[in-house]
Amino acid sequence: MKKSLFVFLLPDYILIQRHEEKSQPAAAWHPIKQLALMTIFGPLVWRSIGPYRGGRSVAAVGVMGDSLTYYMGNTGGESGKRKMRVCHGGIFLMAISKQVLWEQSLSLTVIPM
Amino acid sequence: MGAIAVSDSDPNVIYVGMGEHAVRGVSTSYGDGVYKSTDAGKTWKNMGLELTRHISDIRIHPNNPDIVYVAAQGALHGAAPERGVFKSVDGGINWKKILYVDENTGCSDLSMDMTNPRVLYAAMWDHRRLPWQVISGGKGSGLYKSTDSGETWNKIQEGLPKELGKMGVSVSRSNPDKVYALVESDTQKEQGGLFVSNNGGKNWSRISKDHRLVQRAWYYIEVIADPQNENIVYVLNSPGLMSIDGGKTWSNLSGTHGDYHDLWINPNNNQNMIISNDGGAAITVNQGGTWSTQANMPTAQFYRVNTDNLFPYNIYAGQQDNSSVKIQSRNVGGYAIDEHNWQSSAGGESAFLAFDPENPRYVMGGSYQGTVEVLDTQTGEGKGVMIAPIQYQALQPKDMKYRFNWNAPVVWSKFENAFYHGGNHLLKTKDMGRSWEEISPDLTRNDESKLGVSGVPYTNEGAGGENYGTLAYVKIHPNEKGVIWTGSDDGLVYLTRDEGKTWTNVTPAGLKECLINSIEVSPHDNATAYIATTRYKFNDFTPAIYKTTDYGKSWTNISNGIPYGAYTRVVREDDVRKDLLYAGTETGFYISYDGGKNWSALQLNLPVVAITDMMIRQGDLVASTQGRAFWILDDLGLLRQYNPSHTGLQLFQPDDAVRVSGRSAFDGVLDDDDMEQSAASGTNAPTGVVMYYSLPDDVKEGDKITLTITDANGNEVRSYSSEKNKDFVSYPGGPRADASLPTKAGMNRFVWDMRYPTVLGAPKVFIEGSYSGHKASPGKYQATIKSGNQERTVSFNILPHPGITATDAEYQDQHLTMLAIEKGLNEIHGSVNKMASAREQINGLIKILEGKSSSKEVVEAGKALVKKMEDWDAKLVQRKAESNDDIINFVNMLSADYIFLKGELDTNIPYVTQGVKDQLKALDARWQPLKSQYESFVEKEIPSFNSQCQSSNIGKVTIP
Repeated sequence: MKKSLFVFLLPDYILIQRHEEKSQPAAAWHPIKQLALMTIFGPLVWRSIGPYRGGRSVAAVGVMGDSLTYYMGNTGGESGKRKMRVCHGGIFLMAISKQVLWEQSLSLTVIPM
Repeated sequence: MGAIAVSDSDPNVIYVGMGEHAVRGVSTSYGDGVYKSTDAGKTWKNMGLELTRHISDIRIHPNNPDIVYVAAQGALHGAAPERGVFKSVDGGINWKKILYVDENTGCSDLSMDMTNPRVLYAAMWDHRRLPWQVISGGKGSGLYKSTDSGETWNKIQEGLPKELGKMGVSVSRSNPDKVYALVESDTQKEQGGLFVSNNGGKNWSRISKDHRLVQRAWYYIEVIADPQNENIVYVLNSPGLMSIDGGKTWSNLSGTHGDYHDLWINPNNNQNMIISNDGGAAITVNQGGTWSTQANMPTAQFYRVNTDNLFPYNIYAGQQDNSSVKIQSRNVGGYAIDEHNWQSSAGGESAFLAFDPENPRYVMGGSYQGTVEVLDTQTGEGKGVMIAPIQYQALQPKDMKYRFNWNAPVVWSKFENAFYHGGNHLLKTKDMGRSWEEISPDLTRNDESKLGVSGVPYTNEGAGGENYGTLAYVKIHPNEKGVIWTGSDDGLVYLTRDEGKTWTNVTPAGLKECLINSIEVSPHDNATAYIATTRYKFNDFTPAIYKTTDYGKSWTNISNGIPYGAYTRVVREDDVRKDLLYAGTETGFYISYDGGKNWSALQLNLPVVAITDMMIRQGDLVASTQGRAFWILDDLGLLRQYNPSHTGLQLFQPDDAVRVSGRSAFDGVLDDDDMEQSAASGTNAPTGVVMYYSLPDDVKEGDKITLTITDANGNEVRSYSSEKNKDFVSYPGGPRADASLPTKAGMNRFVWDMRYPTVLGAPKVFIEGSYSGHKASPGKYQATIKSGNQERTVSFNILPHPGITATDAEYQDQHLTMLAIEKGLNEIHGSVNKMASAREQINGLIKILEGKSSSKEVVEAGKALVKKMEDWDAKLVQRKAESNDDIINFVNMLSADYIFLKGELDTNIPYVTQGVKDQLKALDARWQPLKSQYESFVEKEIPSFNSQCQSSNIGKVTIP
């Protein structure tokens, strides 16, 4: 079975507070407590179930001079182990194998953002 | 994500604009600006423009990746100045807003003349989504052109209609004077369509008014000129459309999915394209003749989740722009969860799915505009059962007999085997939809001012997403008959405690108009309930969970610790540990240990994605997401047992494990590499007992930890250590080494595969088959962890597959038979290995002594003994076999026959066949004389050879 991998950044516990509008109330935010729980339950894992049937993409692009590489923008986020980034919307790298013909030759990589 | 751009001149540089530009009222997420990568996507940095929310396009200067333009559509649900066209000349460090109309008007499309990048075309879109209406078009909409890299802009609308809605614009790369504009205008007057200019936008003329080009404009309106042929042009709508005559006539692009949103055409080869739609993205190399698959992307958007209580349990939900789905939570016979483990279910894309979880043969599922169906999963036949089968599309909600939410609740109740359907009234059927009764008055605000035309000013939007004054959630009390909670999309909470005879408005005092997205009743206290509310459709992203402990008489906001932006969609209370709450939000997962007083993020490896719904089933938390399909957090037991005052060595009570087949990437010990997911399948549940243990902070690398499993009688079943077995030899066709226990300070995870010890191999004999010990019989077991002088013990059960009928005696028979086979194998390979060592020693001695006349007798005796041993060895193992298919060339010997027999019996169905029994007898009968021979080697022939050596004065160390 060909394995296409989700690529992970190493955990770096980056906490980004996302919204700094002046008009909005400041969020109650407990970074220390959050780090503690994430550390305590570190080996606990969510399991991706699928199904592997695509959902909406509204952005896709190829690369000039590289007909094997494409990017697809999605509505769901990236998968980064124990990373605390708050950006919405994932990006997938769609790589095509040179050796294999068209229909089933796509491999997908989730690019961590 | 709304836009991606890769630099033509430096493909390492990628900009992405967050927040979708095809902006739905449900299932669209807001973004947080622009991200940039300078290493082809390996790493990313946020470059600001966070409050633009939705970005429709990014254009990069063809020769300079630092010059970049961002088309910001802007906030969807409110006025905001952060929209228009932004430009950076320093790679996104600084941004200048270079085109701005007003706080309601963003840029829906930006096109760059790639032959002269000073020339830009921008389509500005005056738009807004209210919870009850989509506004597409108005005074702010307009088409603009700049010829000085965006410094100044002019309107270019000569020949366009006065009434402008959403527009798209695309300048031809092969003839930059030719520009296409796709224009939404007044649909009643049929003024919209595709316009073309042959003079760089000075004048426009309409080339097509084909409705397929501009229908449902707010969702589509995308025009893309072919880079190599000025007369080829694409328009993306519900169908994908292609024209080869400059826009006069159109043909459908087919072969992927509907509802198209983006298209990139290779500038050097217009046969090569990538297209985006509601089913993912697909690539073509023959101009759309064939497309790559979209069945390899775990990117589904699911709305509402339900599960049955079978083993394995199934997960049900509606998938946006697709069918509903029923998928197994695990694959008990394989390695992964793939297309064989799921199928479509009742209703349609926006379904709530309801059924008796113990017997889910009949599934009731809805879709938008109140359609509802009962599916008999045995025959595969469905039956429409609307209370009033009316086609509501395009009607004003105030004219509808019933108003239904896009995701109209459909729920089942165990008390009367009844189904409920939530419109603006609550509907109930006790006969599977043959007849319904209204069991409530209108449970919404029913504010007629918000029940008018759903799409204005130029295009109506009557699909049902804007139906307002509808029930968004219905919760049947799980323990109290007749108690039902409802929540509306306009912020009212109602309660009946007499099965609908009387209803009380129990909306929290002062609650602003909002979406009551979900309701949870505490499994521990009948009077306690929670609501997850959100005002995101009012451009307010404040999380807001409320709790009542008195049936709604009073409420407390319990959202402390969830940040602004993580607006709340669902809250669930753990069914074992009171006050342990789980919240699913727009940006992630949170938990609370104190009934909601304080929340903490616990994202773990879950992607940052909107969680639309969650449900607890069989000790798991099942989540549906908006863009990454389903996820399961398997081991709630660990979260339930957590107690911060416990320190030092801890071994947590594992969940009981079911004896099934299959394997999982999450078996054994997990490291980051194991977190990798395969390209086209879901991750299976671990097939074993998942143990968590916590080591004290002062644990040092090299400290020895052991974990021992014992059966109900205290007999050791298996033992693991943190230390690697130094004597273990790995070779092709041999056994696998046991995993070592991880010894990190803090929490560690280890999965016992429910098996007895692995049998010995005989290096380097290739045997096809498993060396794994047999699976432990269903029953009670204990695990003891030892670290230094501390130890902790837990007990747990191994359960049989509930579908397997077998007696304890059969399990015992299997266990004893397998023990006997394993004993035979270990004896054979143990003796073979010992004799191999003896032969090696004798051969070494012979090599040294050979040719010395004084040692002739010893050498001859040695050679004879070695020959005898080799003959004996050859009956037990096939040493010629070194690779897998060698075993169909060289005949298996005795130990391989035992392994084959072990494989035959290593099944979850335990009974031992007569064939296995007979064959074991036969193998044992073959082994017994060889075993006697072995004993003779050990007890007689080797000692005799040793004596001979001694009498010839040959010592242990012999100098050649």
